[in-house]
Amino acid sequence: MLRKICKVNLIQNNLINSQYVIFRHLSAKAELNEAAESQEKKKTKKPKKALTDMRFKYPEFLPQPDNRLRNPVLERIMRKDMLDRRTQINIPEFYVGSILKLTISDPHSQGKTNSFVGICIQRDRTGLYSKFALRNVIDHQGIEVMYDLYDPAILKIEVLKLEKRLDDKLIYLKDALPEYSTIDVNMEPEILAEGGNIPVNDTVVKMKPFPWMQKWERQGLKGVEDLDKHLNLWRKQQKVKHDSPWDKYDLMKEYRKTITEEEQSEIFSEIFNRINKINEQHKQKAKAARRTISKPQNIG
Amino acid sequence: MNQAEVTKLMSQLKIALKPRHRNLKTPLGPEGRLDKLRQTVTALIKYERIELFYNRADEARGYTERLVSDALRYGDTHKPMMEMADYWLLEKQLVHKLFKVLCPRFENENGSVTKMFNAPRVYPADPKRAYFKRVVLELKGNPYPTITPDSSYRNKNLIHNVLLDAAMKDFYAEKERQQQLLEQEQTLNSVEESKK
Amino acid sequence: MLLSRAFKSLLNQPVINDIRYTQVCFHRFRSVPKLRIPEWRFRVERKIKDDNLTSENQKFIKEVVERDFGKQVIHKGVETYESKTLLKVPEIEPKTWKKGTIRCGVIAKKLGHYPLWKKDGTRICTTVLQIVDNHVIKYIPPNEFEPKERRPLKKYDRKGCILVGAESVDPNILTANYMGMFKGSGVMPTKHIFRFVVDDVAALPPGTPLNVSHFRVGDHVDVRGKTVHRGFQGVVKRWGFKGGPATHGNTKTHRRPGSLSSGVKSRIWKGKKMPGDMGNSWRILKGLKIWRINTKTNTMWVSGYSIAGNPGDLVYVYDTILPLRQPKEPLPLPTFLGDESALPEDIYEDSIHKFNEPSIIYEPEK
Repeated sequence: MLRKICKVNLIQNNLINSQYVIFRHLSAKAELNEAAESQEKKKTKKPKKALTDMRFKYPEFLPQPDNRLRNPVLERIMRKDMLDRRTQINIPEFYVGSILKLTISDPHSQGKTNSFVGICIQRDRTGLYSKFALRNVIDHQGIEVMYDLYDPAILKIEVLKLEKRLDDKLIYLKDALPEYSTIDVNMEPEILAEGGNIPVNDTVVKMKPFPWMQKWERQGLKGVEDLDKHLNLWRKQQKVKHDSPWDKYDLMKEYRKTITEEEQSEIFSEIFNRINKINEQHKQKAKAARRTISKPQNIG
Repeated sequence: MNQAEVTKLMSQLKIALKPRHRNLKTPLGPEGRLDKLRQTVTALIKYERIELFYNRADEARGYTERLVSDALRYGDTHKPMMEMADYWLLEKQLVHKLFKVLCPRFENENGSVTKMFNAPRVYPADPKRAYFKRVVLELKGNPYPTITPDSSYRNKNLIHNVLLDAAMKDFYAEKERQQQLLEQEQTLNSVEESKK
Repeated sequence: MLLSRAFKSLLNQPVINDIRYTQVCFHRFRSVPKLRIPEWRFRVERKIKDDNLTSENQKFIKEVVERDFGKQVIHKGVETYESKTLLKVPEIEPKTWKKGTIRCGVIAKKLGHYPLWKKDGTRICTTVLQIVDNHVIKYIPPNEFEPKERRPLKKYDRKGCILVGAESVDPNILTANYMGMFKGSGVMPTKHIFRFVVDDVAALPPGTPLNVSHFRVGDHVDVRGKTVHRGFQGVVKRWGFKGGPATHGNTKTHRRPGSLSSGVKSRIWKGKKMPGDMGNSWRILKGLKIWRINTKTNTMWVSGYSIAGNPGDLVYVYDTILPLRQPKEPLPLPTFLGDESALPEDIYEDSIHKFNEPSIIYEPEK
């Protein structure tokens, strides 16, 4: 037993001398065959751009990226149910920052509908759990409502103004001056040309003085004015302390938060045909509805 | 349950990944962790085969795979990509190696870019460190001889392989015989039908 | 003097092959509680070594497995082998169900959470369970069934036992002892196996598949699973103690239990709540309603988020034993014997809003 250990030790000592490179397990056969095979293998087809671009329009069809909670069978059923719901209601393309009008049937006022106009300040979660929040200031009172996107009580979702903002979440509008989140309730829809790029609204928001809901200065917001004039010395020091400029180099942290290109194209190619068919049906319905409402003619 | 981030597209890595990262032991926190990993990534791209502890190797493996796949995707004219390569490779001549040597090498690669093998524990070792596993991490297509010996030729004369070989011959012989019988039956049937 | 000096110098020399270093403590951390295998079951997986098989022989073994057991397929959303060698199941006679008869249960997999909406607009929380390719392996009648529990329990009196297997697997991985359990059944060796104690009326012949049609929408089930293992935990997390205050001159008593017993008693009561290993124990949730069934993927939607285990873990599903949630109509005994393909793909409970129905509108009360 001891002899064996000594032998191993000697081999190891020799190995330690060559720190990084190892010249061990020398076998005569080189990797010639493998190299030849790899050259023969043609590169797999790149996924189409039209499919992967759908991720901006339909982000809720992508599953949440944590691999521990995912299951392919469940995701497929969920996607089918989402499409089933979309046959009944037109869920249009919208982003954080665009202005929506939403009508919903209310159990407390039966026989009537309830509508709310507001700016979309965040979109959250995925699948049938996906939510979005609308914000408006009515009678000097800020109001925010969180809706489930696939709630069957929702009757209609209209986009009054389709645009993006500089940030992914506009929750800071809570602490901004109220003029940035007041929207006219009787606003008329602005129609964009089809196929064009979605405009980015680059307004820079002014904030109210303290107290704030969150520490906005630490979040690296683009759509907010320079916040240093609000901060005292201690808070400025804390901002520098909690800053993490190395985060953008963390490749795997980035990777674990996303769904890969191959998976995305697989998911969107599954729903591509059906969702286009559903969208066309809704377009035709809207056209038919427009025809019926004729302009009142001037008499005399 | 949060939404996936959609701003960047990235291709799938062909390695087994842990769902969560490891906090490598450092007094400097997450920044120190990345500094440690930068050293291993540069070493791997420089020497193409290194021996180290499993935890650090497994972390660094993901970063190298990601770096090479991004280099393949964006090329050397993409400014953020060059910035990333500049951060991860501490020696600047390796940036050229990444784009000029490794990118053409892995252009048609379908599998992973790196390989990892178990290595024996160092003996006698520092008792604090003897607990951890050691591995060998290497880039594919490196100039060194292979780590895994060619076992197919060497093991042919082992007893269970010899026995299995004999069984295999019998298996295929019987398969052929049954097929021949089937063909004979078919021909007979066809002849009888033609007679009728 | 000289000698002693020489001796000392010898001692001070570094020993080249120091064997003292061999005593390395490999189990530094607290070990995980051992997995206790029931007495009636053998060890499943054999210790896999590198057999140094040639690539041709590996191919040959794979071909033989395919010949004997069938190819790898995906059956109702589960990766299994196509059951080629299944015996022909003898025709089962349907029997009438009385209150109190215990039927066979099934082995299921917890997939994840799922929201469903009722027709009155309220959202309900459900968990999706998938029945993973279940087959009956063996039935042990009551006179032969002798469970090796510590003392014979009353609930096993005049009861039989059904062994159910789930998810067929490559037999190269398994031990010979474990494979022997499947010998007479004609079922391919499965990855998971479980026993259900049943009444003699609910006996099933080996080889019968158990699908989601075994259950009905609107009935209630009990779900047994193993809770998430959280390791050695303190008293605040394990038992929900309040802990101490954070400030006001408090030192070192933020998450402590406080006093353990009274001075009069001067000892600790048995069963005192203390720090220790948390989770990794069997728990049963009782009386969960089935809201929806998908026959294509063998899944069922069951109320509640708090079924034990992580997504992907195995759970065992029985008919409920709660007296007030017994089914009003008789259950299918021994299982559903009708035509599976004739059933619709999605079956909903009456109060559930289907996704392809128009949006909800509340009509005013008259």
